[in-house]
Amino acid sequence: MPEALLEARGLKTWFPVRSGVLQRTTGQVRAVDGVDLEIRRGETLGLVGESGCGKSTLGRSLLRLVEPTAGQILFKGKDLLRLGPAGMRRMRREMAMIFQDPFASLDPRQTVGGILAEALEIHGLHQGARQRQARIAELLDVVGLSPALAGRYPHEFSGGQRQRIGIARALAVDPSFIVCDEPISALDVSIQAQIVNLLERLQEQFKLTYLFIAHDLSVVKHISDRIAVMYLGKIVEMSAARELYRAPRHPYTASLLSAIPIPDPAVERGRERIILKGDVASPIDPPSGCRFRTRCFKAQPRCAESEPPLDTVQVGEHRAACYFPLEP
Amino acid sequence: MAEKETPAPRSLLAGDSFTKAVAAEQELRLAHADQDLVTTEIPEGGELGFWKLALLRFLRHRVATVSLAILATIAVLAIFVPILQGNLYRDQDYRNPYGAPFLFHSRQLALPAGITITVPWADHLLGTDDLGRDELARLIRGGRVSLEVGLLAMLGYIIIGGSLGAIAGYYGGFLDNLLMRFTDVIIAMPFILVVVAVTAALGGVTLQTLIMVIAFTGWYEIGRLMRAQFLFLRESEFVQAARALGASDFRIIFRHILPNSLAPIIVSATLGVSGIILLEAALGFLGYSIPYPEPSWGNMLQGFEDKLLRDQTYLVFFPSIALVVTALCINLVGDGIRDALDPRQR
Repeated sequence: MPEALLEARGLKTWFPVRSGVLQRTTGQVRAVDGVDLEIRRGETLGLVGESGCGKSTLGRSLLRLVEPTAGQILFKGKDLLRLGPAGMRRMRREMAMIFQDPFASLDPRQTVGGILAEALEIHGLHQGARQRQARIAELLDVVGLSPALAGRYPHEFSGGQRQRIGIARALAVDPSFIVCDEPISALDVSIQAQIVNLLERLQEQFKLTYLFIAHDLSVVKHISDRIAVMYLGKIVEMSAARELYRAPRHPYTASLLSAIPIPDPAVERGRERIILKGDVASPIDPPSGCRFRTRCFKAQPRCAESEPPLDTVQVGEHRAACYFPLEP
Repeated sequence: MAEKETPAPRSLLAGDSFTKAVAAEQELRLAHADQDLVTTEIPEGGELGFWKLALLRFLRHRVATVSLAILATIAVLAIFVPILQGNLYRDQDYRNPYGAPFLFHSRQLALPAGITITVPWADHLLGTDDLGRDELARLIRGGRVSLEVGLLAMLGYIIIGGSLGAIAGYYGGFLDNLLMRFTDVIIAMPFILVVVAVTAALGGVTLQTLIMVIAFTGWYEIGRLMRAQFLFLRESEFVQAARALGASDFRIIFRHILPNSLAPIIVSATLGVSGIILLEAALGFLGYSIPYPEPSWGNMLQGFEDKLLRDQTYLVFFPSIALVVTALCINLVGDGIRDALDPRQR
């Protein structure tokens, strides 16, 4: 088994809810609430879940873009949460992020060249005007854009082209780990495939490790080696990608999979879908025991009593946090 | 829902057909990308930045450009003519108070080549005031005061409001709370009373104190706008991206947030200048702007009821028209800038 590049232990990111004139803290939004996770060198870990389940917050917490409340993040064996500002800045050379919205993630007042040069300036890489230009041209080339476009502004590009610029920016510091926060969900389907393929090629070329956040299960399946399913701040199931699709154990995963539309009318009409009742419970005051029990079709009294740990079901690599798992 | 010709219901995990279907969708997606390097066409158009585009759009805005030309003329006159005229604005022509405007008489002009020509000439084109001072000279010199107060007080707004708003918006939390409550206090202060108090305390008003009083009491609008911009942009994805690259607060503020927050600030500041000019006029009218003999458009309007009753209406009209035209032009230029900077028009 390849070594873990990044490991999160008991990671919690809570946001205080303040109210009243005195802004007293009246509650905590438990966006990420005790996540244990390891990402192995060279792999792609898919992270899926509904909107608001904390998957983006988890991704940002791993890079300390939001400050976690508790836990440990071990990156190459170093605990990121213990690093000071200078140490963290050095670490940022090793990790990067690709954002969801290619229209919001590029500074509209800077040229593409300026956007790409920023990372080099911050870390003092490729000093000297000529080297910098060469590096920018190289970055543009590697993501499939013409180096002649370095002087253009982001608004002159299409969504897919902008996302390529975002990817080039992530590559600028030559990182080993990239958090891809729904990098394709804002794009057309035809462009999505291009970007996914680009990400896969870059992974091979630069030996990258990805955390790939998405809510589109079919894309995640395509790109991921392993998949983690998140519900209300917790990881409820984790396994090799193929295995998860073949035989989900957690009822939540099963319901997510049943929501994938199938491009075959006959099958689509005939298949059963699991329709969940109700909404995602409040992350301010999550249900006792298993967080999914309020919407689960297999819930039993036991589920309210205690929270099933992720290794309740453990078959090899496949783990699920459920007392009454589906049979494989 | 289920129709009769459908095959036997399958569970969602019904192995084969499900996997096949997913694979089919996958293929559909991939059909669009044999390779990832489908090179993308080069976008049309030159390499125009935001500000150049905005300038082009502004120049296409006819009303705004004409207004700007009028303002520029007023500014040039106000800056240079008083230098040429020297003390004309305070020279009193005792024999000729309340001289009517537009009184022309013939005058012989000697040209260099020994030729003399006769031209229509007015000693005081816009007449004279109660002390026989040239109204035109006073009007032009008064414009200087108005523009000076308007621009310098706005500079004060931007410095005070801009920095406090930026700090409050960027750092948030306790600092934000403190600064916003301070802003509430400033807003609650009765402006006229502050002016009266300062005048009383200093024993009179000078141009500097006037500008400072206006700047210290009026910056809150720019301040709140700046705060809102910073609050919004601080959370934007491109700032997050800069942070993920390890950018310092300094770089984030000056490279990313500030350039993106300027557009509404510029619009608000432009429109604000006309407000300040009118405010100065109101103070002058009440007698709390700069004292005589120095003219301002406001203090030239003092006692306007008497002038209207005594049929010296021109002494009211000229400063009023100057005020209205200047304020209107500034507002039209502001509107033009707003249109030029509006990202929705892109």
